Amino acid sequence: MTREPSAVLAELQAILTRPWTLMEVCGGQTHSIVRWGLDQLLPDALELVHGPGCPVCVTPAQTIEQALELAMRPEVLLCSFGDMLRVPAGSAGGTCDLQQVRAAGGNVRVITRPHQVLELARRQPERQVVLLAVGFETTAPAVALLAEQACALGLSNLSLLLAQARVVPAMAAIAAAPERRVQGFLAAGHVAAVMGHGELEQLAMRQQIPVVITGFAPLELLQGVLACVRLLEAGTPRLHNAYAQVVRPQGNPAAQALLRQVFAVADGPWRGLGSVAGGVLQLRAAYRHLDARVRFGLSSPIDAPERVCLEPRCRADQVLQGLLRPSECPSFGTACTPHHPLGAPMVSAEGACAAYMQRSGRHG
Amino acid sequence: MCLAVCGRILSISTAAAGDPALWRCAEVDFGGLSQTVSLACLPQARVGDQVLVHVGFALSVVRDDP
Amino acid sequence: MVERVVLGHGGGGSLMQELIATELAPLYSDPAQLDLDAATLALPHGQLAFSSDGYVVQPLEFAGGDIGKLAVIGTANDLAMVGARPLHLSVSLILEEGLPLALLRRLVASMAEAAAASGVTIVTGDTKVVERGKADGVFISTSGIGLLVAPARIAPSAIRAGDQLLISGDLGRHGLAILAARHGLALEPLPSSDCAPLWPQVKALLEAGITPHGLRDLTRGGLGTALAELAASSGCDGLLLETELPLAPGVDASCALLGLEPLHLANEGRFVAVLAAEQAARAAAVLAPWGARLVGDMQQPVGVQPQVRLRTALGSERVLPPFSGEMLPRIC
Repeated sequence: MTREPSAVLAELQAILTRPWTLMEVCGGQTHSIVRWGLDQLLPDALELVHGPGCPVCVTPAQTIEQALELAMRPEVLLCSFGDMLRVPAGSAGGTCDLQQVRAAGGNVRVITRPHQVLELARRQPERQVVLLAVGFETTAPAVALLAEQACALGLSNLSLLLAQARVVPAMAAIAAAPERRVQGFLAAGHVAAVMGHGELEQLAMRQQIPVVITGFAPLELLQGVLACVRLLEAGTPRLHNAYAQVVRPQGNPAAQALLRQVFAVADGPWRGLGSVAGGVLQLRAAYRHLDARVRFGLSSPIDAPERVCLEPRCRADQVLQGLLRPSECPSFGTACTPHHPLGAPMVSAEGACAAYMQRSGRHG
Repeated sequence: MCLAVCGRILSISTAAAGDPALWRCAEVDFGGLSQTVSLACLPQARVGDQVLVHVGFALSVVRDDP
Repeated sequence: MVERVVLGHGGGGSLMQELIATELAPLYSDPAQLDLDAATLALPHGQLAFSSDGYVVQPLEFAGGDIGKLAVIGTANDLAMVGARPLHLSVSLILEEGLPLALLRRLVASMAEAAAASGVTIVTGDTKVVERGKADGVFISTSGIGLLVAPARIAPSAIRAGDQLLISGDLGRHGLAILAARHGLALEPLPSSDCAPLWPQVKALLEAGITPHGLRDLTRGGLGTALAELAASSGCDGLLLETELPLAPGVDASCALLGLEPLHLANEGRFVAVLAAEQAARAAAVLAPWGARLVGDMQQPVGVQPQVRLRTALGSERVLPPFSGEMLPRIC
């Protein structure tokens, strides 16, 4: 059904009887909302809270430190998506990041797809090629495929520094929090394209909260908001798929099978949130030889308690849970800016803090 | 997360040796820009299909009328 | 065996003389200048403009140009941006030991052609050679002088709220050509740099009696950064209408795929003019043959600091995030 954004907004205004607080979980949706100024177009009674669905923001500081350390080893070529390059490790010793390590002589290569890592490993057999594998279930199948292909080719110089996380467990943690402000979720459409309805349906039922699978284009986002408000106004907390052109109820079975083959679900730390039950993926035993932490003798964040390596002034933990608006943080726009970020949500193009910086001055 | 773009499959190929599913790829057109994309998890995709692609990996076939 | 630059070529001895005489002579309009330590020039009456820039682009050669063409045209364009007719250039070359002479020859030919196209003469220069690994093939530094033609000073202090923004053509070609070369993007048709002299267009504006309040070429950091600088210097917000911005073919798709901001892509043959409102329509007509477009205006700032705002196709507004200095592709 093709509609104009204005028609969707008009219907939204018509059915709204009271204020609602919605959370969009996916950082890509945050980016799209800000890029299109959608929050300006929504009725004032609706508040959109930006959730922790930004893998850049939630990658444990310890993992970033491990990436920095590996990159400085002469035999290693550390491959990373561009998003991670300016994220500070945030340890007490200073805010180092991959960009600075590269400047200091570390071998850091920006890649746009995991397949490039395979090519690099084949072309440079004398090098240990490591992928800093950050992402949610959208990215995980491509990383799993890389693992399978590396095994098929018998590559001994490719490994994965894993920071793969799972979205729904974090949503469940936020929904279960006693101080929860969020009344409805816009669920990440591309994660759902892989994983399907199942977990989201369970979340809606268990937590009695509406969950709407939503896309990324402005019209798709507005349709997701409308669907969520409809459910809230009707008092029917269930799952609705507003992105059916891409998301099937069963998701992508082949991708899920690949994920099950290569990864196991585990409890693990999210930067700023602490341990999330079932929140991370780790390599299964048959693929453990591809684990960079095993290969290079590094500790796993799963085994070690999450070190709170946040810069003391950084309130990312509260922002990521939707408990603090970025603009309410004392450092926002002063000590913490995109050029000099204190924490990950200000660096990432889709982080909540960076998103707030892009709001026009008149909106604060 | 999940910066993904839709494109149309122009052609499909597999590797000469090894597991065909693992290496199945497509040339996908993104409106003037074409790239090689893995179809390892979309065995049902055909030439002419619109697919959703993230980091060089096809996740889903896009339907115009769901 | 490929003929290459060796350390001796920078040593000041016979090898260097040979390099200059055979490979670098085509750069110079007057071969006699090669014998002098400095150029002597008869300068016309009036005020001079003087500009300098360094060029370190990789790859050295790309569709639509090379580092040599960029170096000549880039400095000539900097002069044009203050309303000066470019006249003379100096060229300083830092060559890496091992650089193929055939590549050097191509760059020299390209620079000579670019100088002719820009209406400048290369009158002096210098050549050094550094050890393998100390330069990325070639580093080029050019300085240029021009004759100020504009009747009034073209500087951000002249910019007022209400001034209109005119860009001289479509955006993103050079940045896209570099990206395609670096990331192996298979684009059809292959993107080509827009590197070109800007003086003809500036001259056309001045001859039509139009004196811009601001001129800025849209090189590194693109229109977004140029406008951010104008906003900061003038104290006004810059507002761009997204629906009016002409993006070159392939820019939209490539930026969507890599998660890049099109307004931060570099252009080497485009500028933005800030014009008094009453002159804007005429300026657009004068520059129409080059594909110029009115795209927004300068406004009273709405926030604490002047910033660049975009009005989206939906009627909402956003602030353009600052360019960090490196085009980093995203997956998120």
